[in-house]
Amino acid sequence: MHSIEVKKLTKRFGNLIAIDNLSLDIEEGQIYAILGPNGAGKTTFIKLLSTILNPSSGKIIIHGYDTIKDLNETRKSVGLVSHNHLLYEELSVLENIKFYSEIFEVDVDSEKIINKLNLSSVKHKIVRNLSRGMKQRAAIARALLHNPTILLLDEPTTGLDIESKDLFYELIQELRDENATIVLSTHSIEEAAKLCKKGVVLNHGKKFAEVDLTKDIGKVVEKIKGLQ
Amino acid sequence: MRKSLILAKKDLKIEFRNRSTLNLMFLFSFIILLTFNFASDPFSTQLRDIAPGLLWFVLLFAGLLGISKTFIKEIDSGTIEGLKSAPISYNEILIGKIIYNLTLIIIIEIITFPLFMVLFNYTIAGNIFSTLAILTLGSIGFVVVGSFISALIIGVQNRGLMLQVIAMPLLIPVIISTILALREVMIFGKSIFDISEIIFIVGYVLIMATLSLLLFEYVLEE
Repeated sequence: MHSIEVKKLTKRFGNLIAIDNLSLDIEEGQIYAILGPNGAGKTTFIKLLSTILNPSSGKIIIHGYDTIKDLNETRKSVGLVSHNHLLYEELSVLENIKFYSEIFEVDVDSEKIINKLNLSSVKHKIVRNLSRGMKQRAAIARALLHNPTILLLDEPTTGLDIESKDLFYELIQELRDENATIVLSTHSIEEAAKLCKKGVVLNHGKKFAEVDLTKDIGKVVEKIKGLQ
Repeated sequence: MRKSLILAKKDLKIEFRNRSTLNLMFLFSFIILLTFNFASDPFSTQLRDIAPGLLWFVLLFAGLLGISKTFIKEIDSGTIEGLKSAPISYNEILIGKIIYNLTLIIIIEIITFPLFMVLFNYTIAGNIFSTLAILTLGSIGFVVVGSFISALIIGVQNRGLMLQVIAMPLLIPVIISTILALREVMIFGKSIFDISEIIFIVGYVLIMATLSLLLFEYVLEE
């Protein structure tokens, strides 16, 4: 079954075509990689999936919901973790979680989600004073508080140290075991190969190739190097 | 509306925590009032004539200092994307920002008004509450337009300057009618119900609020 169906998706910014007639399907319960060089359209694609941007043409269906027509239903089924943590730096971790849970209209057990992400020791700390790794964990807590069935990750490990990255990978694999569909946008093929079985390589907003990351990593690396 | 209140509450919590905007707005109001106090004779009839305009302009420009930051903080920190990916409509975001900005201006109004009365030894001919009601009504018109324009200029350089350049011409009707209404109460002692400008200000607020809500989606969409 497909969690995400992308049909002839195009996004223009003035004369610039960031996503060009892109079609693809992402199966439920898998971690799917969006690969490509800088400027390939990875972030724009994630923003379209998360409804931050509206398509210029084409459509995205998430769990049967059209992202334009069923905006709120789509937003309730999607969680977003970006390289920008999307948290209010002047508020504490707990205050951020409470604010977003009110916006998502969910009666969330803040303590449970904080414990799940090992944030108990810093829950009353102002986000500005947290390390990059802790901020990213808090960002994941924010993204998961409404129990989304799809998690979108846009360059989530940018700026993280090795230890934080490993913790992050463990967490993502735990989420996959819970049957969440995860879309990972990254420029790191190693990271994609570690977490994903399938993916797509974008170039200038177009689908360059769909790749099987369990088999032909060398070929994928060559393909992306060729694009760069 | 509930989500707008949640958003405004969050913004106010952040503001009361660091008070950066409120302090700036108050400092500006205080310096302008103090400067005019030294520059004029508090007992002159001329000052009595221009006082309603002075009071309104102090609030207006103090308000501009706050409003210019409305969306900039959300954009610069990237949190606007958190809001745009959450189930909150663009209009609920705008209304939340209007409530936040209006609360800041009312706080400054409550502090500045008695300060103005003391510094200028000013006696209002009419009702003090009518004066405050007119200031608040004018502030609503100003905040609606200002909040909308502050979103319009988020991608522009020199946003603070651009806010004033774009907002001021749109604000001229509410600026003039608020001054005229204030004069009627503060100098001539009229009741708020006898002032024709009030209907104009209410009409202005309704038209501008409707236009802002209709157009805001296009402003925030990239």
